[in-house]
Amino acid sequence: MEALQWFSLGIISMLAINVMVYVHRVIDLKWYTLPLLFGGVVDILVGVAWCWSSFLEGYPQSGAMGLSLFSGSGLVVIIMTWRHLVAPGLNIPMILQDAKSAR
Amino acid sequence: MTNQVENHKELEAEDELPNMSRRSFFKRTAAAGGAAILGGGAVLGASKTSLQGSLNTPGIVVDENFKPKDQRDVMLCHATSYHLSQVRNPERGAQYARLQKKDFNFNRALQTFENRDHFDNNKPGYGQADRAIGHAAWYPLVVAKSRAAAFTQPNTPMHSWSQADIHEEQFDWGSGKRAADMIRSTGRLFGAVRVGIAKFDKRFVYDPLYDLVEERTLSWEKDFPFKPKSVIVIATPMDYDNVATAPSWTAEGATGNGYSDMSKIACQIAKFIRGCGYNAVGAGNDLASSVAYAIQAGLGEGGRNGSVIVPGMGPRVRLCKVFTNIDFEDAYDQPRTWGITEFCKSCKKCADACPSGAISQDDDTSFAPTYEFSDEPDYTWNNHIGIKKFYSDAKKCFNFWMDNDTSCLNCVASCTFNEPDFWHHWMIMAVNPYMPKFVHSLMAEGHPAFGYGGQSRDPIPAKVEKFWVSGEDMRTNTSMKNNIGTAG
Ligand code: SF4
Ligand code: SF4
Repeated sequence: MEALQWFSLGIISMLAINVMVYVHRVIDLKWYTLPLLFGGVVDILVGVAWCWSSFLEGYPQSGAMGLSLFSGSGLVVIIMTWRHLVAPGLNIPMILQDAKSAR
Repeated sequence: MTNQVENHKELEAEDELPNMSRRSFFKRTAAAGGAAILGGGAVLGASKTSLQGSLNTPGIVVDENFKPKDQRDVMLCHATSYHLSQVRNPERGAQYARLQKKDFNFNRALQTFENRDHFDNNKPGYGQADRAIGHAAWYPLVVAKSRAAAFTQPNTPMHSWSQADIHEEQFDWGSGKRAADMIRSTGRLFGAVRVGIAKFDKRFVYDPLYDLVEERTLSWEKDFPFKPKSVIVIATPMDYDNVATAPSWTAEGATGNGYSDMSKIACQIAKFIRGCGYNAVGAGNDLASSVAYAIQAGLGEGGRNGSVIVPGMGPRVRLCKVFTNIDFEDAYDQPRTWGITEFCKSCKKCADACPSGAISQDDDTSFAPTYEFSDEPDYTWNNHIGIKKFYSDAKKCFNFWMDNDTSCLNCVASCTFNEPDFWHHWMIMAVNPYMPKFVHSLMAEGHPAFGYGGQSRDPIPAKVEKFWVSGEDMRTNTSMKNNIGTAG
């Protein structure tokens, strides 16, 4: 079960990296938002891993706490970074235009 | 051919990601993935180094009042011996009864310990099965006539001082390191979860020793069969779910089983060493303070609850020792720190959960007891004064055991470091030394909030029930649940 857990988390981590690289390329994120977004993603993943392990060891309460504290704080960091540091500089029509012109 | 190329180009254009070629995208994800793997590896390496503990500690700190402990002043020894309790020092019991306003005598109370047939099947943790599991757990030692080692009796059949079976040829270990490795591997085979090796240190043995059966003192120089050079300290685990039932009778299952394992492993390792042609004597609670030697052997740090806190297991271990004349040269272990004693200064969970109020609520360690009545003449006779640590009143603890008609374990179950053996607890252990005081307090509060520990002064019925169904899956045991509490 533990092996399955680490395997799945590896896949989830790789997907998260894919999404981050994609977003970085499309939006051209400012350098200082990267560690914040990356930290948030790692925090979410730690919460998921904690939760899974806690269920395996028979302590679902710890799983719920881990998910809400770690993944929850990770989500908050990502949302705050996005709303306050990324979104204000975003020009959605321009991005769409870019995407179109690439075709 | 042209059509094929055109079709392919069209498909590519459709799939193409905005502003990025597919090659560039995969290059970047591969680089990011590689960086993540390297970062993860670095974190793992740093955690493993942190879990080894730091040598930057003085180990056991003593002051000018320190001297080796007289075995006759060990609580369990005093209470077990009729001579010590009723003839040599009856004033100790009388003083305790007077100050605590109780009709209580250490030696008399022990006579019926765990044999009062008053189980109640309607009271979780105090039914017939709860009584039976404790008796069963201790039974190997009863059969081997060696249970007295738990009460500090030396030279019991399982920890015999006889060296008659020593092999005449001495095995050449090759080096101290090789000897240590081979003995640790043997310990692991026999069921140890930790094996550390300390130099023999006369400061931390009981001196004089006391034979409770013959009611006489014994000397290391005249009576012990050889001059020890080293002490091998072995930790054996107690079951997480069973310990969680403390202070019920059910929890005596983990205690008794731990003692049976201690005797078995120490007896086996001593026999192995004698088979290799060297002197060896195993020991349970006898001969020396197991906590002091475990600290000396780098197994853990002293906690507020008086136990040694072992990283990864907390205080949920039993300790035994093997005294030998093997010289391990430069392969001896050293005291280490993981910031555990420091953590205890901000965490009082064990003291809060202690049903007898025996555990110190002080904010810092001290060289002498500070508990209630500790300024009364000779009231602290059971404490080993002159060591910097948290001092408990073992007389109150013993009193509770007698009233509860079993030992207790609540300070083990409630400890913030008592957690199942799983990576996320190791992660917390690894970061602990770098955390400031206020984070230690948060961690101590977080432990019960996450569902661990959280003992009350009485057994929690749900935990008793959880233990009794913990073997439900044992036919195939696909979750690999073992008695360390692992679900691998
Ligand atoms: S064993 Fe029980 S009574 Fe004794 S110190 Fe620990 S919690 Fe207190
Ligand atoms: S419960 Fe807290 S104070 Fe007590 S021994 Fe464990 S860590 Fe230390």
